Amino acid sequence: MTVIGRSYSLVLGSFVLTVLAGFAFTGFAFTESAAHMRIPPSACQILSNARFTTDARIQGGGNKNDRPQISCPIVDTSLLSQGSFRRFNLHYFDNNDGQSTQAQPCVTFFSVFGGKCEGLFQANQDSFRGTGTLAYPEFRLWEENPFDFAFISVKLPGRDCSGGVFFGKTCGVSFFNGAFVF
Amino acid sequence: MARRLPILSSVLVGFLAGLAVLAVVQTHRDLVHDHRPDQPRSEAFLARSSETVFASGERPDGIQRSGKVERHMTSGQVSLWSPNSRVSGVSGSNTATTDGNQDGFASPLWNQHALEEDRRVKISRFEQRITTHSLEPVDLAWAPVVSRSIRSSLDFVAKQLGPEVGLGIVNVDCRTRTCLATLMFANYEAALESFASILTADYNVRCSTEIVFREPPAGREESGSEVLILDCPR
Repeated sequence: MTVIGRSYSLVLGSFVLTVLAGFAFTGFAFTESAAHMRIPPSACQILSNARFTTDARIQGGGNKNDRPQISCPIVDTSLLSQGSFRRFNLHYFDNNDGQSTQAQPCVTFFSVFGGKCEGLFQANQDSFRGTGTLAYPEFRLWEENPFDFAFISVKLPGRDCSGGVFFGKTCGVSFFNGAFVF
Repeated sequence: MARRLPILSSVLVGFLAGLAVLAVVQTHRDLVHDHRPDQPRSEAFLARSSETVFASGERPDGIQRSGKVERHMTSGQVSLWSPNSRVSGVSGSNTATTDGNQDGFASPLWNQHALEEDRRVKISRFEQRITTHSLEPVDLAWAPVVSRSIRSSLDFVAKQLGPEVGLGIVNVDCRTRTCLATLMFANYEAALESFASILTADYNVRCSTEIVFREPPAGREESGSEVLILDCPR
């Protein structure tokens, strides 16, 4: 092979390799940066048996048969649409060894009265006590109803006054720290 | 150095070409991702024009929470089931909002046509699901157990909602995968106010829940029987 031929091969080879490397690198960077939205407790509505705390959490009350219930509407923008969210993680402190936090994604229809929810889900066993994360399995409800009004329905554990001392209190109370949708 | 110049320039051009290819791919993905089959996307985005305006500062979800539906309707705005208009928006250039800024209340997602089409699709799908349920065989090992659990949960919800809502459980019919609960309410208003509690109740089975309300006959407020569909993948 001539010197000129070798030079051309070198140039062509480095061009192709750089294209591939650049594509792989930038493509990886783009695909790995999944957009998310944070939902603080203050964005949620307390429906029953709970209150906002000074540290911006929601503290559950109620009891085993009358659990605290919260509803967190999904805020979206033209750049991060509701239909692009297929998962959510919910962060909480569970202080009841007889119940665990449960959640489900829902949508309120706008064009007709009614709505739809995916199944109620809980991540930990009822006996779990401590800081927990509920990672709801992938769903398409919001993608299938992108123009309706989405929310996450949350049920915290009720107060546990079964007789022990729980983190310095005679009744164990649970907290909702917030959620991420992505 | 002169010999390396072609290599360096090819590296630079190659990198730029890579970025260009990626930009094209990303744009294509965004377009595909935004497009949803069966959704009135083009019509919905057209609503950015001032064709549709929600009247007098009414929130799009305000209807459901209102104590009485008609109480919140301003002149020119009618309820969903009125024969004069089939959606709760108002259209036309004569409609003005309280601050006179029509664009401020125009939804970027909904317009009159998109609402009507979405409503038609939702009702049609809901009725199709009821038909599909009726064709399912009954799993004798599963259906009675789940029916009892759902009825028990609905009884609990009925107690929580109280006599004002007057939730009555007429029937719970489970088959192989789906269950259909026939419900009665004290009146249509009570049904609209309480359906979210029914959707989000704990049925002790992991089922999706859906309610689509049928329109009451014109001029009447009493609720007929309403249907809750539970889909329980196993």
